[in-house]
Amino acid sequence: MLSALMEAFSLILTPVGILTLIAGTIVGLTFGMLPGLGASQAMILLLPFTYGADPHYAILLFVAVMSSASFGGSLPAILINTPGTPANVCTTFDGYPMARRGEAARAIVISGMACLVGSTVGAAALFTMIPVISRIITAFGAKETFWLVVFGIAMISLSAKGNTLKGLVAGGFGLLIAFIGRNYVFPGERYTGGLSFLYDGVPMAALLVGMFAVVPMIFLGAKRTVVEGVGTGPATTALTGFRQQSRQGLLDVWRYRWGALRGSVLGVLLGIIPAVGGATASFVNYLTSKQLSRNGDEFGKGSPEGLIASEAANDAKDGGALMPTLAFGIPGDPNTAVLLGALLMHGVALGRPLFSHELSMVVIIVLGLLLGQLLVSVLGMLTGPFIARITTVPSFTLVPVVVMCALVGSYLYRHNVWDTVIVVIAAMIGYAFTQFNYPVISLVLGFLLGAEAERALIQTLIMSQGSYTGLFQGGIVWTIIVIMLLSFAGSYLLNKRRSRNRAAVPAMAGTNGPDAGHGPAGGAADTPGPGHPAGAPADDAGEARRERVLGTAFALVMLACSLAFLIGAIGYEGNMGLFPTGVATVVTALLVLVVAAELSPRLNAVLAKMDGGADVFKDKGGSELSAQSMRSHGRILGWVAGFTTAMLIFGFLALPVMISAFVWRSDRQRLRTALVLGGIAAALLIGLGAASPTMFWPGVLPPYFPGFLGGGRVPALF
Amino acid sequence: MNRRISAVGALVAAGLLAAGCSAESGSGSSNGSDAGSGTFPSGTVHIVVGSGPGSTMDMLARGLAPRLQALWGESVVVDNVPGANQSAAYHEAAGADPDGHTLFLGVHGTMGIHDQLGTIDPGWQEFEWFGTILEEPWTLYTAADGDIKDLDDLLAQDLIRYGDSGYESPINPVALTFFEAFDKDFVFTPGYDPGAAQQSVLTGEQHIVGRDAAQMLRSGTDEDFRALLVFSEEPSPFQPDAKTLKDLRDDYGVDIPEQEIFQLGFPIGTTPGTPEEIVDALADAIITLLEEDEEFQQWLRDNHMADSVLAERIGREVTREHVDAVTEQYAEFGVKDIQKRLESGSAN
Repeated sequence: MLSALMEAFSLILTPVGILTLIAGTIVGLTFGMLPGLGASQAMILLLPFTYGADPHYAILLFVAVMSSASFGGSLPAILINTPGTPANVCTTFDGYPMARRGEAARAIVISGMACLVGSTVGAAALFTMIPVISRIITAFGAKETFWLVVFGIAMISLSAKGNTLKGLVAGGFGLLIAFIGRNYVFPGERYTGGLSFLYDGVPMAALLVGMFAVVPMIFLGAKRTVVEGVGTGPATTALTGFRQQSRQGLLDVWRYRWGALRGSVLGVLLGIIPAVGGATASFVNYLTSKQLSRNGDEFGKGSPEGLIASEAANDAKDGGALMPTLAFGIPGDPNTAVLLGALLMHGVALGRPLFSHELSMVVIIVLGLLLGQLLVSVLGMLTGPFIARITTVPSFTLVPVVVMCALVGSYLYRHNVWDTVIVVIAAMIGYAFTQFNYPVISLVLGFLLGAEAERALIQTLIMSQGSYTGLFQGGIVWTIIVIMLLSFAGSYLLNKRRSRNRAAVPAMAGTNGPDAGHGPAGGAADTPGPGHPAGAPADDAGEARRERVLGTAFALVMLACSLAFLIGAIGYEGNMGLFPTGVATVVTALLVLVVAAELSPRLNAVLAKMDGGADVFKDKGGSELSAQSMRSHGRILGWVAGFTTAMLIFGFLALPVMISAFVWRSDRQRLRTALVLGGIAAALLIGLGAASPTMFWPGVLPPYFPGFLGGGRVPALF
Repeated sequence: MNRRISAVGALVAAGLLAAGCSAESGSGSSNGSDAGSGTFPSGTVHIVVGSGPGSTMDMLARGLAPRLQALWGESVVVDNVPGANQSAAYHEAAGADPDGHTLFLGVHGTMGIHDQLGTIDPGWQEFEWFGTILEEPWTLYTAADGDIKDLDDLLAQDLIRYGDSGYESPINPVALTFFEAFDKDFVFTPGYDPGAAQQSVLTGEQHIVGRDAAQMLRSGTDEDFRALLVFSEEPSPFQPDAKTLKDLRDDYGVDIPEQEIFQLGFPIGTTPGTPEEIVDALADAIITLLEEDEEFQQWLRDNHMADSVLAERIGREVTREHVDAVTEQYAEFGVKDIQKRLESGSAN
C-alpha cells in the first residue's frame, strides 16, 4: 500500500500531473457552474482527447473534473438561486438567503470547506475500505435497497413539516411522475401517451433544471438584481468584508464540524448504493440534519449548518459511488458511469486485478478526489469576491444566460431535444407549486426515489414468490428499519420540544424577525394563500379572495391530474398498477381535503392547528400572486417557451439571438450589451459544436444549410 | 411595430448567418450528403450506440472511432443514445440520411426480439447491416465464492433464481431453453441494470446471470464470477472450465442444438436505402482495420476481443444470413409469449 502511495505521488507531483490536475479542476469548476451541465458532460467531452494518453493521467483528469464540479455547482446556487448541478439543489435553500443578506463570500467559503470535508471523508473511506470493499457492497440486495429508499421517501413527510398536507400531495405527485415510462421490472410502459421520448421515464436532468434553474429565473426576472435592496453599491456583497466573511465561514465549518462529518459519512453510505446520486444524498442528509439540529428551524433561511449539510454529503458520495465502480464495474451514479467507461477505454482492469496489481491507480483516484477538491476550494475561495459580483449583475442579462445554459444542459444529458420541452413543463409546474405553496422539494424527493422503490419492492416480492415476509428478512434490513424508527421518534420529540419552546416565547416575530414582510409563503399550516388561518387584513380582502380562487382552481387541476393517474393505474395489469393505484388514491384523497380546505377557512385553520412544526422552506421562492407579479412572471415564462421553440427549430445558434433579443426588449438602451452578450454566447456554442459535434443541436437547418455545426438529429416523438 | 419586427428579424438573420459562416470555416467538417458522388466519407461519420458510456457496445464503438477516423481522414464520433432498450438509437440511425454517414451498433438478439414484438420500424431485416463486429456465446455465471461450484450444484437447486434487465433481454430465450431442456423450475427477476444484475449474483439473491464468455474478463471481474455453462459446442478459450453444449449431451444426455441466438453478437449497420457501394465501402473499412491496423489489433487483444472480432463476419451477405437465421430462430422459439413463460417460472 505504501509503495502504491509513493508511486501515485511520484506520478501526480510531476509537471504533467500538476497540470492535469489543474486542467481537470478548471474544467470541472466551469461545467459545474453552468446550470444543467455537470461532471458527466465534461468527462464525455474530454474522453476523446485522452486517447493515447497515459491512463494514470487520463483518469486523474477525470477524477479531478468529477470532484470539482460539485463545488462549481454550488456557486450559482448560492449567488443566483440556481443550482449548477442537480446535486446542488439543497445548497440554494441556505446559500441563496445568505447571498441575499450580503454574505455571499461567507457562503462560498463554507461551501468550499464543506466540500473539502466531504471529499476528504469520501476519499478516506474509499482508501481505508479497499480491503473490505466487496463485503460491504455484496451486503446490499433488493430488500436492503428497498428499505433505504423507503427511508428516503419517508423524508417527504419531514421535508413538508408545517405544510404536511400539500407536502404529501407534492411528494405523491413526484412518485406518480416517477412511474411515467418504462420500469423494466414490468413488461410494458406506463403513462407515456405513446411518446417515445418518455419511454425511459421523465428525464431527471430536465425536470430538475426546469424546477430549480428556470423557476428562480422567473422570479428573478421581475427584479433588477439578485440582491435588490441590499447595500448601496455593487461591491456590497463582494469585496468589502471579504476577509471577515472568509474567517466567519471557516469558523462556521469548524463550529459544525460534527454535522459535516456525519453528513459526509451518510453521503459515502448513500453513494455506495447504485442509482443514488448526489442529489438524493444531499436531500436526505439535509433533511436528516435539519431534524437532528438544535437550530433546525433556521434551515432554509440562510443557515450555515444547512449549507454544510447539503455540500458535505454531496461531495462525500463520490467516494462511496467509486467503491462498486472500482470493485465490480457497477457505477453508483452517472458520473461514475462515465468514469467507468473511461477506465475501460484506457484498459484499466477493474475488480480484484485492479486492487491487487494496479493499486497505484486506485490511490491516484483517491488522491485525485482529494487534491482536485482542495484545488477547487482554494480557487473558489480566492476568486469568491469576484464571482460574488454576479449577484449585482442586472437580472435581464442573467436570466437569458441561465435559461440558455439550462436548455443546453438538459439536451446534453441524453442528446434528446424533446427533453427541453420537459424543462418548460417542469418550470411551469415548479412555478405553480411555488406560487400555491406545494413544496417542490417533496415532489423532487418522490420523483428521485419512486422508480427505485417500486423496482426494489417488486423484485423482493418476485424473489420471495409473492410473500411480503421476504421484505423483513436480514440483519441489515432490521438495522435500517430500527434507525428509521429512531429517527422519526427523535424527530417527533425534537419537534415537540421546539413547539413548547416556541409557545413559551411571546409571539413577537413578524415585525422584527428576519422574515418579516417577506412574502406570504409559509406553508399550508401557516399561510397557504387563501386559507391563511389568521385571516387577511380588510383592505386586502379582494386580493385574498382572488388568491383563494386561484388556489382552489389549481388544486382542482391537480385533482383532475391525480384522477387521470388513478384511472390509468386501474387499467394496468397485475403489479404494474399496484404502486400507482395506491399512490394515486392517497393523492386524490389528500387533494379532496386540500380543495375543501381552500374553500373553507375554518377547516384550513383546524388543519393548520393539527400540523405542528416549522416549515423550513417557507422562505423559498415565496408565492407572489398579485396580478402585476403574475404578469411579470408570465412574461419570463413566455420567453422561456420562446427560447425553447427557437432552439427546437433553429438549433443552439438561435439561443444567442434570443439572448440579444431578450436583453434588448428588457432595456432598449442596452443594444450594445445585447449584441456583446449574444456574441459571447454564440462564440461559446460554436466552440462547443466545433469541439464536439454530437453535443451540438443544429435544429432543422442542416438540410438547408449543409455545413452548419452539429450532429444531433430529431429523435422520434412517437 | 413593423420597424421592431424587421429589426428583430434582421438580428436573427444576421446572427444565424454569421454563426453559420464561422462554423463553416472553423469546423471543417460537415454532414455532407454527397456520399454517392465518389468520395466516401465526405463528412463526419456518427456511430450511434444504444447505451451509455461504459458498455461493451460503447467500448467497441469508441475503439473503432479513432481507427476509422485515421483511415478515412474524417471525423468519426460516437453518439450515445440510450433509451427504449436500444430502439431509440436504432430509430435515430434508421431515420438519418441514407448516405452511410450514420452507423448503428447494436445487439443481434435485442434487435431480433424488438422485431418479433413489432417495436421497431423499419424492421431489422430492412436495415443495411454490413457486419457482426463481435460475437461470443452466452454464458451462465454464478458467484465464485458462492455455494454453487458447478453445473451439478445449480441443477440440484429446487428453484433456480435468475435475474436480468427486462423481459426482452436476449439472454432470456437462451436461459429458457436451458430450463426447459432440464425441466427445471425457476424464478425470473427482471428490472436490474446491467451492473446490478451481476451484483445480484454476488449478493446471493440470484443464482445465475447471463453474460458473454469474455465479459467478466473485459471488466476485470473474472475472479468474482464462475462460468458454469457456455452455449457453444466447443469450449470457450475465455472460459475453458465451463461446460459446453457437447458436455450437456455427453454428461447429462440433454441435447440442446447450437443456434445463432445463443451468440451475443454486435451487428453494425447503416441507414436503410444507403447505396450498396457505400455499404460495401463501410464493410471494407472494418476489414482493413482488422487485417492491417496493428494498433487496432493490439487494442482488440488488450480487451479480450481478438478471437471474437473476425473479418469473416464482416460483409453484407454474411450478416444478412445471420439476421435471417436469428429471425427464424426467434420466430420458432416464440418470443411473443416470453413474458408469460418467464412469469410462470415453470419450464413447462
